[in-house]
Amino acid sequence: MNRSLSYIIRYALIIVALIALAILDVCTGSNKIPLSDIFGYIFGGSDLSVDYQFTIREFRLARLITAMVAGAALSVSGLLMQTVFRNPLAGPYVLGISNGASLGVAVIVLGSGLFLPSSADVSNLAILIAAGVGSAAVLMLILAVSMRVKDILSILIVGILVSGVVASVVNVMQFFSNEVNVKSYVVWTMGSLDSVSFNDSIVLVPVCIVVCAVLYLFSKKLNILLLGEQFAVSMGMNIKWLRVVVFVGVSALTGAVTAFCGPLGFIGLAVPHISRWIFNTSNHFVLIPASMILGAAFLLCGDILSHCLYSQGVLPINAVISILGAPFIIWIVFKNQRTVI
Amino acid sequence: MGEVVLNIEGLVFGHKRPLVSQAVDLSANAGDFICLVGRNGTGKTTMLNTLIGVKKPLGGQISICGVPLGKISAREKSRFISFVPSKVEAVLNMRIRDLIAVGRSPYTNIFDRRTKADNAIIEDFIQKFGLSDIADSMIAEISDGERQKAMICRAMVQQTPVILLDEPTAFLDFFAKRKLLSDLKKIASEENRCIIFSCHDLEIAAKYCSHIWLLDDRKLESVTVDEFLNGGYLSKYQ
Repeated sequence: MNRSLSYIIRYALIIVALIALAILDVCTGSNKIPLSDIFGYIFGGSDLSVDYQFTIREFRLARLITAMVAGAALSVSGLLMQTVFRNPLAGPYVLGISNGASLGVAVIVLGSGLFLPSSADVSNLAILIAAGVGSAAVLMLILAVSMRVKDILSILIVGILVSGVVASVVNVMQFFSNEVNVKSYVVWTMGSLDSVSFNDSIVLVPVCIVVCAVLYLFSKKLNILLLGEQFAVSMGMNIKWLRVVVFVGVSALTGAVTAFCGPLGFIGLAVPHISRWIFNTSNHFVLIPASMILGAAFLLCGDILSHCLYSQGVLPINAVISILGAPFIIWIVFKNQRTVI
Repeated sequence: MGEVVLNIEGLVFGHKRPLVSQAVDLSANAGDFICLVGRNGTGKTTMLNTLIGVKKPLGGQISICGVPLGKISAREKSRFISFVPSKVEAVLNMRIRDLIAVGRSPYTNIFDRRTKADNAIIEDFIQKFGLSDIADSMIAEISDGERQKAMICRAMVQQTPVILLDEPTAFLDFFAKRKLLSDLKKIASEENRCIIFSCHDLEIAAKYCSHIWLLDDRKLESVTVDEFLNGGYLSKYQ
């Protein structure tokens, strides 16, 4: 069969799956809201009460958009990191970017007890800024290293060490902090799609789309890079420059998502493998859009389950996606042993 | 004898310190099949890396078809010289035809759109190399020898006057080595390309190559196969 036709069919199938999951997602939640009301709100046809509109917008739609954008951003990040490091175990977090974000948040959340009266609440905006500053700081460090170092493995080692150091610093801060703050920090690390407001989720959309579109333009170079760095240079590529572009792009994506939703694990590692398995290719022109769609669908699955499995509230999304995803990935790896990148 | 395609003038290569004590002046013609010989640590890999542009030369210049490589962009350079690494990653989810098509990437746009002419060149060389049967197989499904052949086919598709191979025989069995080198020799003369390869299998290499670039005693010089076999190099290190 013609290859582009088979790609179109596969794209069509995963897009249909994504739409179905999106509809299912807006229907799940603590209150029962009929689908007709949600469509009514979106298309402005029906006359709903202001409170009701608020619930639909701030809870259902905000969650839906956040889940899709975060899933897409993390999956593309993971794909690119696996390519740049040419390592199937790489993910958006290997550079320690999200640990940087965690440190920023830890300083604010855990440190607030030291500087602020205990009754003061840390605002969402403060958390956002702290996460942004933290991830930018780690990015600067990684970029400084990658401009000097030629060997990609050294960058990987630096990334892992930075993650370790940052995690330890956070541990020390937890040790000296009070219970309330430790709990609110730990809850943040479990990840959440529910704390993002509708307006914030709308901000995430263009950030994700623009960064992914820019990275898409590097697909040809990424495809060549898969064949080896020495070979890529012989094909006229500037590897250091490509790494910088990918690192900045990935940091923007993971930094933004981590700031809003906490460190969502596993998606960035798993979804690229699912995309390669479904499309049976290493071609980034195919895999980048595929990872975006599948990543959005994957996180929607996790979100739906985290709302459905426990009737009294919402399960931590990180735990749900790991429990849901790990067996699936193990199965794919077993089926696909010979081709991993 | 073809025309001169590769001209190396006053070249000094090395990491921070030069690996050669005197500057290298060499030239090679279209149709030449040259074996780069040197013991471990003499700088063969550095020499290859300098030619493909992974390393900047410490001095001197390399020109191909009269164009100095230092004066043109990296992308343009990939239209003059192509490189075949000693091993291709087998883990890629990629078809042989797509691997070969990578050879056209120095000519395609940012979206890697190939023209009809590009595709015709690709199909033409797939035929010439007898790869039609496996062109739709995945890289992981074929043998090391076939992968090597596909990478050489990829270099042909790139249509560069000079082709460099880093130890192409390293992962092949005895018979596959001989077959590969005789095929390469045929390609060099029939397609009128200058092919340079590094190799540790001196006895096999000497049988097929047109001459030898010998890297020894911090010098790189071109010798004929006869001079090489009788010049005392082989007995020197016994």
